[in-house]
Amino acid sequence: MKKTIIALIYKYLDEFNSQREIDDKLEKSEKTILYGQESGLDSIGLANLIIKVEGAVYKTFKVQIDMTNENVFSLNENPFRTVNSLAEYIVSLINEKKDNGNYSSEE
Amino acid sequence: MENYIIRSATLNDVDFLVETIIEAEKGGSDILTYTTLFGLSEADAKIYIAKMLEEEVDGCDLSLSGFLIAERNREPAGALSGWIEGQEGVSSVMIKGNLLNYCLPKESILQASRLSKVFSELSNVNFIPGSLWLGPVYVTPKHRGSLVLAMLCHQHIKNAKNIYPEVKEVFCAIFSNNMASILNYKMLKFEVLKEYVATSPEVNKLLPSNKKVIMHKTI
Repeated sequence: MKKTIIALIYKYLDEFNSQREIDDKLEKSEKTILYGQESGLDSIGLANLIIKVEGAVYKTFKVQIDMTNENVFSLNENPFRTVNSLAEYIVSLINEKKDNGNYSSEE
Repeated sequence: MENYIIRSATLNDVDFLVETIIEAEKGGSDILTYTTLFGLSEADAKIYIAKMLEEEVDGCDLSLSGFLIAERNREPAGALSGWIEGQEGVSSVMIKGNLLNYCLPKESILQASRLSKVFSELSNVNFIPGSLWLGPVYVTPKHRGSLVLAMLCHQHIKNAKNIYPEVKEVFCAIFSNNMASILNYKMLKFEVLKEYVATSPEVNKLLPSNKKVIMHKTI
């Protein structure tokens, strides 16, 4: 599941990069920073990433997730920090839904 | 998550809140309504906005008590205003109108009154009593892309529900040119409820956009 999610994030990065100059493109790596000052994503970029990846997760896994729910801000680790941490966070959100019986995977 | 502290604004924050209101009013454009409508220079607008905040009148988007500040390393990162509409039986439009009348020079009020016909179609926003409204928001460039608006918004909703458990909806009104705010609210599951469009060609000289978007979410 994590690999599929990383591919969904990379798909957004492709879209983001297609509108960027060569020096501003984001690397498609699990270590790529997505959050804060060190990130190449600004406020619009991060909001778009979240909206589009949530949509893609729904299409792929038939699960509606809310990445910016209020609980995320009380987590010790920042799930938006990198591609890898975001993918792990999305897996945990999907699994949470699965545990609550609100899941139908097409995988 | 990250080390942001969300707290209520105090009189010590007035300078940052003035910056917040000015930047939010511009919404990414060069048009400041305090200049175009009220005929004030930006420097004078700052003085009058500070004066209105210092009046500490509750219940509208210029209420000091309604602002939450996001702070990191003791430095303000962003601010967002919020209020419960018609809490004391008086609408936010009335409260703000009275505040502007009281604090701004008479000639500014007369000028704005003369010009108001140009954008009257944008003035029909239905501020539903008992709902939470979010107003001016600003995040400093250094802290953009850090979900500061999301943190502020969640805290406003939490505070509102703690004090007024009957609050069921949260709204915001944004000029359509302010894509950053619109996208950030969409990210927070706000939906566009209504759009108001001013048809006069003069409006683009006065306001950042001729279109105002009302977004809402059930809480």
